[in-house]
Amino acid sequence: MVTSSSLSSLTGLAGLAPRTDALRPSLENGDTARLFGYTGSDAVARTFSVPPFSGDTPAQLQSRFIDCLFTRG
Amino acid sequence: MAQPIPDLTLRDQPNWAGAAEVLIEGCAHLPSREDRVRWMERLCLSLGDALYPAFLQVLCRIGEHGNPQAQAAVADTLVLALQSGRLPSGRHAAWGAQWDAAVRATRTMGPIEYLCAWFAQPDGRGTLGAVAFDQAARALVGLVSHSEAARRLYCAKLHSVADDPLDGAWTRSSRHALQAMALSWSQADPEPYRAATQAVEAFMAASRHGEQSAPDATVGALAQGWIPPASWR
Repeated sequence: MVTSSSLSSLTGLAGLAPRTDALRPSLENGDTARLFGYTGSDAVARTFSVPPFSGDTPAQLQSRFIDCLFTRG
Repeated sequence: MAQPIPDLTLRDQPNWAGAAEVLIEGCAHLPSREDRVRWMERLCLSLGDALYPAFLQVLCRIGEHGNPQAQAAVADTLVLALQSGRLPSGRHAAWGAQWDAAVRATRTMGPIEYLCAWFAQPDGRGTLGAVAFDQAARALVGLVSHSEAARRLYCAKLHSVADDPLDGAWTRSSRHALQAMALSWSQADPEPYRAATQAVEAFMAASRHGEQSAPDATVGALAQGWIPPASWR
């Protein structure tokens, strides 16, 4: 897991946002890029086209985007 | 101004494709260009600086796997963002500093500069390897190249960054590499993929040349490329 707090603690904000995070050791070994998907490998992926409009509001679109990548709380 | 959502945790297996499709949908279908830029800006701000690389990764996925219409929808949104100074941006440490969102020694950077800085000037959050940088940068430059206006504006932005020695964010060799990228990109083939390849290769070649010019990474050699920001002098 990568959290905003765990990255902050890695980089100097530990006193402000102490947090135990199982992946902190790997982050400290420089794996931040890999955890965020910067692997340099060609992953098999489908081609993205313009989807039909769902009718969602900007707030709903934002919520969908975040839910794809993150868990909350 | 949107605030970062607290306690977001990256999933073990993020759905990058799903996020990419949502971003494309917003850029293609929200009612006006202003609505699209505002939405993208708020989305980026809601993640906060520490999770900005995730937003960037979604842009890279679109640049790699989006069809021309999908990439054009995002690139067209970036035009107004560039024109109005609202390009989704992250913070990277100034050259020689460690990343710390609480202090001033960080600089706000757009997507392409952020990747370049992460690769050329690691700031304590781990390095971005050459292969990963090459793939990500080509995807981003290719994405922007789907709009001629976005390409022209972004080239001007890169030239502006590279021409500012007082900003404190970049070493001299990095600014030289950015300049080479901007020059190559502005003159490159109009086909987005080839334009991106040429621009990123120009950056890499200039970076390698900079390293060869200063093979001994002594403090003195490194310091040659750095001019303190005006506020420190």
